[in-house]
Amino acid sequence: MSPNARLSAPYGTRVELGEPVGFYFDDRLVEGYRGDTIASALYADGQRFVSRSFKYHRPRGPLTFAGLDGHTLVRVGSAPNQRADLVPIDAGLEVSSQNNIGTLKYDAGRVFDALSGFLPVGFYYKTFFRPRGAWRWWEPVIRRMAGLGRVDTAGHHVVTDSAWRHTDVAVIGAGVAGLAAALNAARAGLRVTLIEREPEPGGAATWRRLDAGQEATLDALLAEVRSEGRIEMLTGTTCSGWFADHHLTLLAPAGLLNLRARAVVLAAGELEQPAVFRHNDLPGILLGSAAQRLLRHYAIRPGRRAVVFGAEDRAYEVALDLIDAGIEVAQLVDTRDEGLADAELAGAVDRAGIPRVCEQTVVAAHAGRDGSVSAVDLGRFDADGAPLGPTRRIDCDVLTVSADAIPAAQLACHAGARLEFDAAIGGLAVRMPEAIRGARLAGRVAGRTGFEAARRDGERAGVEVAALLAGGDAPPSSSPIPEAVPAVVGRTLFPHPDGHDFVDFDEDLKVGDIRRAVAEGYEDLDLVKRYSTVVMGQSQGKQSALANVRIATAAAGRGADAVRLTTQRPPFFPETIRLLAGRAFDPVRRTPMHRLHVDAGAQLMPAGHWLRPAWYGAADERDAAVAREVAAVRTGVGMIDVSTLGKIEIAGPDAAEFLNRIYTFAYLKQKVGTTRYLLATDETGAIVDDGVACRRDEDAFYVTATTTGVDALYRSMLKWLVQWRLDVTVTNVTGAFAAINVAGPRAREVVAALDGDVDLDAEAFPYLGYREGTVAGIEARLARVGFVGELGYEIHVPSEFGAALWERLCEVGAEAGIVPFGVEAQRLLRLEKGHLIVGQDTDGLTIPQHAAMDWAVATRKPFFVGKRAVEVIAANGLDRRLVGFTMPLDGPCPEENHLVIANGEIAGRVTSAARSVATSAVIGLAYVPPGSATAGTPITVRLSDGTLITGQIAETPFYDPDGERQKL
Amino acid sequence: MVADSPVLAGGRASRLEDGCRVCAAPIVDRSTAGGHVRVVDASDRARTGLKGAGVSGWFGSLEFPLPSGVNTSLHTAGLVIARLGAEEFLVASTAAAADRTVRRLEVRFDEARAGLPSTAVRVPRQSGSACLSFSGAGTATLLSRMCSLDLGDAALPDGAVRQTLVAGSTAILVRDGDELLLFVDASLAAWLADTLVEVAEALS
Repeated sequence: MSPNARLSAPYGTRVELGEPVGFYFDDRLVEGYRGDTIASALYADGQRFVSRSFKYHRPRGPLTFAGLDGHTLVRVGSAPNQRADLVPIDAGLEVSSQNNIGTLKYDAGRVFDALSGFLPVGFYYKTFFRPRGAWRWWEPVIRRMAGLGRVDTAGHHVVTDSAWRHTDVAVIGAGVAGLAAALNAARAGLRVTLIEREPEPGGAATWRRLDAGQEATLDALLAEVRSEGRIEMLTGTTCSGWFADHHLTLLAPAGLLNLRARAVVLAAGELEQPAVFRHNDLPGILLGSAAQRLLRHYAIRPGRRAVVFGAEDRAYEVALDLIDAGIEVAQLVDTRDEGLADAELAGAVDRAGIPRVCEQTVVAAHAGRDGSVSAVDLGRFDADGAPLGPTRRIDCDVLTVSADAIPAAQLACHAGARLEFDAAIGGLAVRMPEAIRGARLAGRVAGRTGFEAARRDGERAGVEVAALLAGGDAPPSSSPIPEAVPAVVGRTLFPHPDGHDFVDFDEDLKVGDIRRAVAEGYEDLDLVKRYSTVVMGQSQGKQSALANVRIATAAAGRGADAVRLTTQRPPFFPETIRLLAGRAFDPVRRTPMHRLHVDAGAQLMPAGHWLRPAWYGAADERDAAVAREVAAVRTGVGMIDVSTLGKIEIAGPDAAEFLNRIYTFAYLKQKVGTTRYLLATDETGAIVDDGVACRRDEDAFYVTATTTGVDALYRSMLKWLVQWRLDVTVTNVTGAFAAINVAGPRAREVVAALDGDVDLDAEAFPYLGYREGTVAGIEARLARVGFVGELGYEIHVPSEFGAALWERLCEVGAEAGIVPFGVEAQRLLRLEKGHLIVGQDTDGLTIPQHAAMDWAVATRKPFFVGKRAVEVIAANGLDRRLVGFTMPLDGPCPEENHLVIANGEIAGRVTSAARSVATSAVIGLAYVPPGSATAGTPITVRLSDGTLITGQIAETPFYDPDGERQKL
Repeated sequence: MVADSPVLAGGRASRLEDGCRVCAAPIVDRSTAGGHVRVVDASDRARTGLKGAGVSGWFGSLEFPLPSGVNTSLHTAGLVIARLGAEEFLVASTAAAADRTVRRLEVRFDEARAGLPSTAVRVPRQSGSACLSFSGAGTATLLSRMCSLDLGDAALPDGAVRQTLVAGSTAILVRDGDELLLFVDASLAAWLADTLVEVAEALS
């Protein structure tokens, strides 16, 4: 078929017949027209067979021409699994088939179809685990065969921004009902966002058979909507999820939109369903709506000689459309009894000379040499739908199927609605709970069939949501809304004794597979789904859910009133990981001295959201740089940027009481001008943070917290403050202060050189003291701390002066040989002192007693967060204890989380370890059983390569055990 | 602060890329899909915070009008006064001439502290935060890529305040006439500026 053999206007609303466009399919040049999709252009070119099915590699062609089935998955450029009936063609576009072993036409995978009788549902679960060890052989084989398409792992990273939008009313579906709803909501002064997945508004009215009056009504509606400034129309945009509080996720051409609406009207229409019969999956078998789309959207004749098959009146509309387009309709087959069809439509069909039979079915379809349908067998059927008596063969090159339709209610189900059997209408109906405020259904999804009923129902929904958002009741409708009319639908399931009667095209599941699942005991629908994988494929049951529940329910011996669908979950339509990922916002915090660190050659490392210098020097000279920095601190003076420490101000008459409750230690009697260690546990008794409390005055504390823990700690403080109702103000000032720790035997002379007004004398400002004053002309807070085990001053200044203070320290400290040191050196220095790091030397179950921090728990005070848990755990006996250990300096050094082994069993783990020149040993911290925690006890550690090394438990601190150096 | 310190003389010119301020050139100044948008670093404008029981009473006793509702602000005498809580205010100058007013307010508060409850504190907003000023029709579209709130003119009228997340970072947004002021932790400012540039480029 040449692309030029298209119908003339008014057919072909989407294509520009004056603009040919060439593209490549499996390296073959194909010509279509501007506006064609890949699938429509291929169909016009005579290529109906575009893909292979997932399991049996059966030939497949477009079924819906609406992107709703899994038959059209192709590779476009480097992107796999693109729906050929959605992707528009462009000049030079390279499209290739996928999921074949060989070529689309000659696919070695077709052997699985021949073997399908031996591969029933459940085959995988029962087969590949025997004999023992067989899975190791099968797994790579199955992995190679699993999945559809191949991801281009060489592709470059593309960031796609997502965006947030807000509206008063979101209307999903721009068919007649949606247009009317949008218009009426907008007329009430509301902002309306109208969402349509097709390229143009109009919904089914763009392809269904309309009379002149309906066409005029549609045109008028469209004109009014387009001129209404309050309506924003998003075409080509699919709503993939309806979440709490009317949060809708929209797959728009430009990326993912998160739409927040005050009310939502769902007018998504319906999903036409295929019939089940033998070989119902052949290319050239189209849903009736697909044939109508080909005609009206793309000006393409679906075939030359058609058989129209149906179980409801729309088959008659399809037959009339085909005749109007000059296509021979060889037979109309209606499964219903004579007389059930709409008399007007039946008369029109008869007058058009279309041969019509009732109470018969398509027993089987047959494929021609190209794999597409070439003939069908017609015949009668018994009460179960099985063939009855002789059949009659009719040649055709297209078979249209108009079997049934279900409300497109998936999105409503995301929001909490249920799709249930309604005896009154004899079909599935959507039940939207009243509790979902601001949610309305309109049109076919609400059971209103027919153009005028849908329009009026849309009007009603628009008026209702407008009234709801205005806080009132909806006014009575000016014209009555037609009640939901039960469709007269005949039988649609015709199981065949020879099989290949597909229920789920995506997963190649047949009637026998569903029945087998039920027979094996999986009677519940959700179990049938999980066992057979029905409705779990690319189309997520859009064409298989109804047939599946009918078959499974009947097989289980239940009545029609038991019919319900399995749980519908987002997304309604496939979303790419790229869209979901969007732009990753991973904040990076820089200290005020960041540029100075970079200029000084620092190797930066992440610490929570912060960037911190790990060491200063070349990347491959870590050990030497750390050794140099450690030596400077131990023998001279060093300085480290500790601006990342959490900083919280606590002020008020209950400040000390507040600290007393948050932390394990005691603070009521802490003297003004002193510091005290802080250790926080959560309600389970687990250590969550530590720091230092500086008492500024009777009612004010300035406390530090860990770099990564301060945000959680601050939130926790605010929560407890609300509960305890203490008279305290808590303020997180982490970013407001830069902080530098000047440490080493010569620290005092360097800080003194800053010309501050704080008396630095050891007696005037002793170890653990806290002072406020000025240094280098800057208001500063100074604390005598000993984290690294040397004389040290932690200087906190407003952040804008951090860089200046750092530079000034470099200047005044030059004579003393001041050296900046990084996190790695600090870790070693603190390890030599036996100080733990929360999160590294503790875990989510570590209570203070585990970490040998009994001294930091004030057991006599009545309460602190986690006290009860700590007491209970401790009273029941500890199962581990954090201890120090040493090993020979010239031996291997364990790493974090290397296992401690005792009697061949795991007895604990290493949390920190390093080579310490100052102590002439490998030193570390490890959890061991309490009975093995005594100094001098041997400890065995298993390295990554399995080697066992031995050391001994040692007292901490490893360095300066009496703490004399930090008290200088 | 001691203004004549040798350190201040040489060190005040800290830069946005250091995690502080001030960046002289506009961070963003371009046409985007939503319209033109201009983002400048306004961190050099003076600002302060007051928080804690008794603050509103003391503040109200001064010559300044106060916004009555939480998460609202008003503009007076070159200042934006934003009410972040029943007893919490952010005060920022919107012009250099008003910087002195902010400083004077801080001094008056410090002088008055002895007579206030000890829970009343001054929040170091100048040190702790950076201030970015957004203007132009494309502002809401640009921020819609980074913030889940409705920041359109109707939802965020003049004087509205939002305490929210922008690009995953805690931020305070204040609508001040044609400007939208964004206050964010100073340590995040450089990263946020880079992110704004990237997002604006993608929108162009």
